Amino acid sequence: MTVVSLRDVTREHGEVRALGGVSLDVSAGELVAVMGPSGSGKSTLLNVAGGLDRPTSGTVTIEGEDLAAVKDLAALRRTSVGYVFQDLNLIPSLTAAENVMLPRELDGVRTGRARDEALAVLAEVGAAEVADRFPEELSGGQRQRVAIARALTGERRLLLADEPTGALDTATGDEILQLLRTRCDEGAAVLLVTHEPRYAGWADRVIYLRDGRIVESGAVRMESAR
Amino acid sequence: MSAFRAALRISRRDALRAKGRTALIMVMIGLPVLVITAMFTGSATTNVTMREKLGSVLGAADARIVTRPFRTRVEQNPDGTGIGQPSAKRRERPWTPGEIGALLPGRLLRYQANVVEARLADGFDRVDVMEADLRDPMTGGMRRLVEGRFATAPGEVTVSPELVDRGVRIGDTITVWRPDRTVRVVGVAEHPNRPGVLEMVALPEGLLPHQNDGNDSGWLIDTAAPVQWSDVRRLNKAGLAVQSRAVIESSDAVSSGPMDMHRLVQVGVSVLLVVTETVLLAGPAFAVGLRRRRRELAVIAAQGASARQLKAIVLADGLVLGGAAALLGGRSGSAPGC
Ligand SMILES: Nc1ncnc2c1ncn2[C@@H]1O[C@H](COP(=O)(O)OP(=O)(O)O)[C@@H](O)[C@H]1O
Ligand SMILES: [Mg+2]
Repeated sequence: MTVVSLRDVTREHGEVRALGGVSLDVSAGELVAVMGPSGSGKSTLLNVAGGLDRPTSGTVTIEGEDLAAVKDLAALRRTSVGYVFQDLNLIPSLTAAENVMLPRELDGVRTGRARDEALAVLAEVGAAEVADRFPEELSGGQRQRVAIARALTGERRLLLADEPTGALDTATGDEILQLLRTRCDEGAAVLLVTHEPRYAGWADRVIYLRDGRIVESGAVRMESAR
Repeated sequence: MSAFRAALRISRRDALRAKGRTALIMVMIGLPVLVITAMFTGSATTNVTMREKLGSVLGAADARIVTRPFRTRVEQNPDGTGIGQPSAKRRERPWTPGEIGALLPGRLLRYQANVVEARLADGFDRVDVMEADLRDPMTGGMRRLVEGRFATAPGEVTVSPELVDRGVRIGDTITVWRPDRTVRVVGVAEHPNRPGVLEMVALPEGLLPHQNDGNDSGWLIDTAAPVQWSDVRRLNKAGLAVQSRAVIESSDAVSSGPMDMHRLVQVGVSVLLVVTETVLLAGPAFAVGLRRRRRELAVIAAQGASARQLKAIVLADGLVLGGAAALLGGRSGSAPGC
């Protein structure tokens, strides 16, 4: 089942063509790695795929809904899309649990229920014990776990991760990748931007971007790499 | 609703984290509110305090007549404060008891007051001097005799208990500087509502030289009927200020009508000032640290906050900080006796 689908998507910033006609489908349970040199349009692809940015032309469909027809993109993001960035993901003045609760509270879910949900998801990502700590009291790996938990609350099935391991050491990075892979196997669609060729091995598919175009795409799933 | 709760939570936590910014906003909003409420509260409580110290000022007299340097028309509050008078080209001859008796019949008792330097055991210190004949029943309640007797002759004084604590004893002589005199202590008398004051009480001109009109001198008066506001205005017209027991004790009666209007205008102006200055200052105050805030707002937006919800978060900031600042300012501004 296709969770997100891009058709001939372009995105231009004035003269700069960040995306130059990209088509891509990501299904539930699929982890797609996006690679490419800096400035090749990886972040732009993620933003357009998640409705943080609108394409200049082409169509983006999330869970069957054409984004061009969606009036309240914010609501769609709350219910369908989760983001994880390289760092500075969490709001410093909120505890881990409160950070995870936030999208649900923004969606109108009552505080008590949002907290119960948050604690459940935190437990799923192995961060239950840090629920009441503030981001600055957490290690880099713990922070990313919390960010992933937040991206998954409310049964969101599209997870967009922009270099989530970029600020982590190798061992911690591997743990985070393992976590993403697990979430994926449980039904999430994951679009992962990464610089690390090693992580390509965890993906079901890798696409290479250059100058806003997909130059190579292939199923590279190598059981040995895991 | 829970979205707004989340917004308030973020604002509250941020306010606690960024203490410098919070303090700045508190000061920018709270201080003017404090000043305005203090001014307003101050003017509202004057009557009460004057009523409270009526005994020490008037004794048992019906009124105190305060002379002024000129004989132009005096403007004053009902409680005898806020005295104003346009100046004239030359000073008039001094008021005589006869002239005053013609304006307001009654028995007069002279008083005058000043501050002198007196030599105590540990050096010179500033000491208040009040001069009135405390043996006269009209002064009943102005001072309480603790020990010895009141002054009965020029050069005799009673001293306040504080002076006893500073080593002065009955029978001692005290050297005063400006005017250069020596006075003899015959008793200890206590001020009813100024504990700790350094004070000597003598007969009129028993320590101080004669004090001209307008130089903290005048008469207490015992009249047949209470001195009314109309009497006060009549004496004002002649150039005298008046503190009347009847007027001060029933200051509500005087302030009904035009005074209520006055108060209403006062409240209106205060509210207007508070609102205007908050609006004017709040903007710059919240701009402080907005750059840091912008990053946070971007993260919240990525979590699916709508434009309206982001605005709610900024608004929550205003509610949390502005509300706390105004409350704090208002509370400390209206705290009495500080
Ligand atoms: N808001 C923007 N305004 C102008 N140019 C932009 C903007 N965002 C991205 N770009 C340009 O689009 C291109 C792709 O950027 P990006 O998607 O961030 O690349 P990547 O994530 O692969 O490094 C770059 O040339 C970048 O300079
Ligand atoms: Mg990028």
